[in-house]
Amino acid sequence: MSANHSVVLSLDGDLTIYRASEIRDLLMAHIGKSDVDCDLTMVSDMDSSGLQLLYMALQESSQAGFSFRISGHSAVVHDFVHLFRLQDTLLQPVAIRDDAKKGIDLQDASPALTEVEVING
Amino acid sequence: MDEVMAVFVHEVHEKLDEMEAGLLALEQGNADDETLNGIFRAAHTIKGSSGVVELTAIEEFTHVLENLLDQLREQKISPNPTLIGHVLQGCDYIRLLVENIPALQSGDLPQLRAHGEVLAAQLESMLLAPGQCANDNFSDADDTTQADAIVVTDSSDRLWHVSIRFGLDVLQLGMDPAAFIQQLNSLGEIRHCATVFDTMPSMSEMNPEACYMGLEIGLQSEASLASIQRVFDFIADDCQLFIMPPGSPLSSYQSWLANFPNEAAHLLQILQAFGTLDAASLAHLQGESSEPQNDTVETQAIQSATAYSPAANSNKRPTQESKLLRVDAEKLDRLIDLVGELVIAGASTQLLARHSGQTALTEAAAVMSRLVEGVRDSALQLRMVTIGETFNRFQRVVRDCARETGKQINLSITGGQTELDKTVVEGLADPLLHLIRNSIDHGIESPTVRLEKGKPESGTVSLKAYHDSGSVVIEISDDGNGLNTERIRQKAIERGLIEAGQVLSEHEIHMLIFEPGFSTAEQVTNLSGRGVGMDVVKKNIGNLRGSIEAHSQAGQGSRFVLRLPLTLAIIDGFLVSIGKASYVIPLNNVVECLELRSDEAQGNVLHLRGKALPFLRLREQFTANSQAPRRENVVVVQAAGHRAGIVVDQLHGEFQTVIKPLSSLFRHLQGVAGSTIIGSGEVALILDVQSLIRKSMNNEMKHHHGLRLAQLAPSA
Repeated sequence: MSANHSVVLSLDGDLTIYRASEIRDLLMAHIGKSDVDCDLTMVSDMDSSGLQLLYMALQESSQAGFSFRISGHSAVVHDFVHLFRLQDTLLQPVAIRDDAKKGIDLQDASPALTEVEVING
Repeated sequence: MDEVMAVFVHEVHEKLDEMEAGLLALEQGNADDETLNGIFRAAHTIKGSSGVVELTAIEEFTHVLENLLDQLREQKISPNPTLIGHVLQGCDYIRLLVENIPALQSGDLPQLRAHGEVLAAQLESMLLAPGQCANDNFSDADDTTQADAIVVTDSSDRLWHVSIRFGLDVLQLGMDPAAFIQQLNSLGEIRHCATVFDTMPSMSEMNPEACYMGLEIGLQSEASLASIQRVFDFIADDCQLFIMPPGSPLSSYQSWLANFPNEAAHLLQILQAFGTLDAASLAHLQGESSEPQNDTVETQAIQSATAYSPAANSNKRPTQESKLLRVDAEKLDRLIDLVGELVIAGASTQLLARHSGQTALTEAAAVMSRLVEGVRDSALQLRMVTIGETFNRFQRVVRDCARETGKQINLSITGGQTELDKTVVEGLADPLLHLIRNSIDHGIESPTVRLEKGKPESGTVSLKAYHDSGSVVIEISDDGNGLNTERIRQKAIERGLIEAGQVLSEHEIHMLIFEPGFSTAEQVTNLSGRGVGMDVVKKNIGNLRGSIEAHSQAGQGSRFVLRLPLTLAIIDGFLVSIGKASYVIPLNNVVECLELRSDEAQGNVLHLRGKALPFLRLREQFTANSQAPRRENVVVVQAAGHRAGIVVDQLHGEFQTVIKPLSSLFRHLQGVAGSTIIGSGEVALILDVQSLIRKSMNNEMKHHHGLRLAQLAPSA
């Protein structure tokens, strides 16, 4: 049951080098242990260190077989990610997790996600 | 200032050699991008250095040459024989200028200058007109006005590729990669951008405040290289930056990729996605990057912001050069000298230790002796250079000679990796040059004659080097007409070298060409036959303690075999004695040692396992007064394919020998190659095995045939 447990992380304020350590610790507590949905709608500033952390979180999650999604983001995040042309990687169209998926084996979870992408893209 | 000049002259000669080698490769059609770049770089270096030493004449002329080479490199013009010929002439002119530096500095050399102007005009005529291309001179990238003149006329699909890896502390320094993207955006349009995190560690290991980012950017811009570089000025020391201007040669991408061996596949994907290169180029790069890259460790040296295209091309060179050390030859000689003394002192110590009878001391001395041997070998290795460089220099000679004589000649080189003492290599240049010219002039026939004889139209001169029992053998052969035995014979009779009725083997006749004042050429040409004969070649080789032999087959070609010692300073010797006098035989020549049994020796011949072996008694050779002991020993020696026995009183075993040359007073001494000092402090003579073998064979023949043989080829 714990394997399919999903965590929603809500980050607000600055996603910058000043808080990089703090954010890394927060992410590390969950990344690679469960699926993570990251809500960035309240982020007011962002820099490369923040971008780096998001990318790393995505990479480590998928390596461990979990999903990492940014479920929502502010305009600041949008612009910054677009500047680096990482929107396709990081800002995937948000798949809304329905109850039906709970309990499904992880192996099946990722194809379902791709499907959503295709539709929205 | 003189010292600077000396370095400059040396460098220019080196660079000119590089250029010539490259140009000849180009002419023969086996050149790649790297060759062209190499030629360009060499010219560029000459230009730069001559600017530094304020020789404007050289600088200006090289500038013209460089412009042409640049267009060649960018494939705006294609190489052709005329062009290469002009560039080679340009090289010769620079050489000429360098030889006349004092005159160049003091004032004008009207003739030379006029010559240069003609050449420069020739070169310029081969350039594409300025309108046809953008003459972008990267070397002057810091010169904004010139760099800004770069106009990319067709901007629709020409992309700059900017590759940057940020240093770890960029973020901590208060700079953000995003700012650079935005600045680049202001210079043009970022068509493509890929962010790479290929060096990112795991989350637990990372420093959240460090920067692990890299950017690959496809920029469409009409800005100059300098202004794009300026964007990164602030982090110049904290990043790896590569800028490939539109239409950069493939090789600049190659050297860029070489810096990221682990990311190559990823980077190639990015290039493909950007559409910077066409499919063929990509496939080429793909092939390159799959090869193992071992030398990427040193590439940190070029982590500089200025690693834009031309410099990126030369990545490999600076790293290689930094591995090499330029050492004053005198210092090296002094080291070798000291090592020589060390060897003698070591031998003495070992002798004393052995006499003392103390085991521990003997052991310690033995260990030291082994180490000394190691030191000796490494020290001598320092002086060793490959012969390939000298060989390659003859490409030009052969080309020019072939032109002059209207013959078609290929030079084939094998064994260029063979190592020889630098002194020997230097001393070889002249004799080799003479032999090669001789082969071309007298040996190889004109194309028509060759075709008549059923030979291929173009002749071949081969240079070959290899190791053979402690010496280096160099062969110069050609597939020409061979030596004219009858004419040599007649000439020799004419000159009184031999008597009319004398019976000589063909080989002996061939060796006559090394006699002083011998030249059979009926027609004195520009190449050879200028009175400097083969006797000088033989003397030069003799000065290097080497020997030369001529072999020839009528109609098939001739072959000159040079045999040279590996080194001139120290050898492994075999110590023997007669009475109280010690002699050293070079160990490389020693085959075996045995006791002399009177029943096996007949006259001058020894029966060794059913074979006849000529021998000579060293006691008789050196007319020693002492009485021969009851038991004598034979040392079987071999040189140049012949064997002989040398009879001595006692054998003492191996001995490291520092060769001390004999003074010119003893030059005429036969059978002695030099002297050395042995452990006891006494002097021992080093035997010249080759001349001893020859002597023993002659003795044997005299004995059998009673013939008076002409003193052929007196020993060195």
